[in-house]
Amino acid sequence: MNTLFTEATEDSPSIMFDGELGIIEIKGKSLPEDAIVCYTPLYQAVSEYIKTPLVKTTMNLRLEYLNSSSAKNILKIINLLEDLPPQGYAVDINWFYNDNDEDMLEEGMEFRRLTTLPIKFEKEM
Amino acid sequence: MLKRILILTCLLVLFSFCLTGESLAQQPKQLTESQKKEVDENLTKATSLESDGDFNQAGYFYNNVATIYWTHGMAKEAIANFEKVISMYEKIGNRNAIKNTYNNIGMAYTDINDYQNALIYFEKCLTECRNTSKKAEIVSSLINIANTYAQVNKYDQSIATLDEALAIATEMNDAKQLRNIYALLAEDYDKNGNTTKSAEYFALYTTITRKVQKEEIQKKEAEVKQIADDAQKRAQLAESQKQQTQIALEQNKEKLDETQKNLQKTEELSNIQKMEISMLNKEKELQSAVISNQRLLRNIFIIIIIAVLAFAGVVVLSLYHKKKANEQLEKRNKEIAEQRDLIEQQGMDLVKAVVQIEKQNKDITSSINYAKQIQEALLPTEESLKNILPESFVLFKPRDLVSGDFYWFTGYSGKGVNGKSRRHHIRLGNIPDDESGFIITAVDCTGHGVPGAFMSMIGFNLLETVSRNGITEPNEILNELHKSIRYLLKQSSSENRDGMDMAICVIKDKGKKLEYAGAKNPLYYICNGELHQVKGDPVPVGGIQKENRREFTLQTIEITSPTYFYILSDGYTDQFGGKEGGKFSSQQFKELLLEIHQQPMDKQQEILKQRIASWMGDKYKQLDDILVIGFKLGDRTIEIS
Repeated sequence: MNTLFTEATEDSPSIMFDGELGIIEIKGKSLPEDAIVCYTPLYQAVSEYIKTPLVKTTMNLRLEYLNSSSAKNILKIINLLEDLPPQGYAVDINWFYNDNDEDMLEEGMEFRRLTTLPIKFEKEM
Repeated sequence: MLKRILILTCLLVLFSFCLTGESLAQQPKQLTESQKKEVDENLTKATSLESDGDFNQAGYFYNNVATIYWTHGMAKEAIANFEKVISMYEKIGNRNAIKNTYNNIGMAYTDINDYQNALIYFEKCLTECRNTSKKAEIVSSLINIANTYAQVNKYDQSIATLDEALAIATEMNDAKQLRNIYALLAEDYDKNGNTTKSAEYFALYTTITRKVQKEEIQKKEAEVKQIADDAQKRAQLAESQKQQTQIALEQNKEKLDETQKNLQKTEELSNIQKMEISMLNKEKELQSAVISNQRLLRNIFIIIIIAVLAFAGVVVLSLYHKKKANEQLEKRNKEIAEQRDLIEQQGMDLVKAVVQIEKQNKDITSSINYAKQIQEALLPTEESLKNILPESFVLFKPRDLVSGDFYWFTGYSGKGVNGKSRRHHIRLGNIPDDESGFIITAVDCTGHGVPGAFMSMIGFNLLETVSRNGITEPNEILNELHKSIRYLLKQSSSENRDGMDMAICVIKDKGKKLEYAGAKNPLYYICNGELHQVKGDPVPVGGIQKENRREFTLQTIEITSPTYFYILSDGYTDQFGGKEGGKFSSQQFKELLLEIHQQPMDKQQEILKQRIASWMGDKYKQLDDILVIGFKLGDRTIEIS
């Protein structure tokens, strides 16, 4: 599976994965009852992708809210990407957050603490 | 034997190239009077056309002249006229005709045993063929040349020429030409004294001859069969058409008298055809003649049928349309009935499913309701908090029946303090006798609803255990909780990453000091109209962890004037709502606290409740459990005993 797109719902974000461009994007609110169901397709797609990755992979996280089980599942996907830089592939993770939403900035800070990959913070609006 | 083959082959070659060669029997070298007249007529036309500049037509008539001479054994005269033909076609560049004429001249020279000249013209012909790259023609030319070489005993040259022809014919898989080439090669090698090669090619020749003959027979049989089948099909068609026509005719008897006569004729014709078919099957050799007869009959028959059908068609068509409309109507009615049945069935299924779901829902709800009673029984009441901290409130608003947020508090004192033993108060042996304090915490477990409630049970009991073990420093309590959850949920080895975000406060020195430690959740306090935010450590208790050990930080606040403290879960600040569906946000929450902190505690609770309700409006549902605890210190001494 080279591309994946899941539309956002009331309680789950839109999830986009394009293996041909090396882009992963999660956008919106993520508070599904069972986050594993929501993130498993992306997890599988990324697992497959890292076997033959592109020179550069970009992950854009534009989250307005995420519950703790979503965080756990997104982190699992980030952990997959951690294998790439030692093999010479670049990984960019961009954390977009609303200018006055310091809670999401802090959430991003926690991700930064939990991964060896650099996370860039980008203010929006 | 080989000679016979060779003659046969030569004839085939000649035939393949030039139809005029068909009647190349040697005739007396004299024209009859009528033939002479014919030659003259053609010549007159040719010269007149030539002078008019119509070289194409002139060429045609010169060719006629040459052909007449040639077919009557007068090769030299033929050659002279063929040369004329070439000069005509050269003028208009008709290479194809020139090529054919070269070949004819070659043939004519062969007729008079002038192989030297024959060779020259066959070579010219070959050059033309090569220019057009038509492989079959190149092969034929090569064979002619080889044949000519053989005539003058130049067998090596003949063989070399044939080798080229063989290569091309093999590539084309042209069985007939291959047969010719094999025969010539067998002959050449025989003459050359190479009997082995000769035998080899002769063997190839016989094999391919058989193959070609077999294929020809098969092809002929297939053709015959096809003709027979076609005839039968036509007869069948005729029969069925006849039947249709009869039906129509019966319905229109009076009008169709004349047509009936035709129909009888048709029947007769059809019978004749049937008989012919049986004859066809028996006598294949006579077939082609019969077929042509049949074709004629068929054509007549078809014309008649068309006339009949055109007449009857209108009547049949109107009947057909009516019938079809009726059928469609019937079909529609049936479909509608089927659909109605299906919808009824689906409706019934749906009702059944709804009943079943309702029952399941009821079962689940009553089960969770029971669980809710257990959780409520466990949680301390707001009143018991007010007994110790009169100015306090707890805003507790679970999203579902059971909650993943919970609060917990207890007083503690040394054994020496003489106080009544009561609920929410523990006596510790490891602290000085006169020391006392009050621990309060707001906890947000991962998840909400049932899974959250499971976690809350674990957290609640661990807090009981840790405090009863005499640990009264908030950071130490978090450290212990972390270790215990890591151990209980086997987080060092399993995939489990559940945990708790929490803020914990310990009030000491009878309310003059507050110690705080936070797992992700902050402490807000307002003193002299100024709001302070104390951030906890950025890590949860349990949960996602890379490190084995986790040390939380102790922060101490000395209280010298009235101070309002607030701890909470993120349910309030993360709630979506407002005009744009955004989060309530910490920023807005802090502003709200500043706005209302001087109100009585009960009033503050009420305002917080109203604000979040109006933020959500009708459009947004509650996202997570909500828990906010507020209390005021610094007014008076807090007695804990």
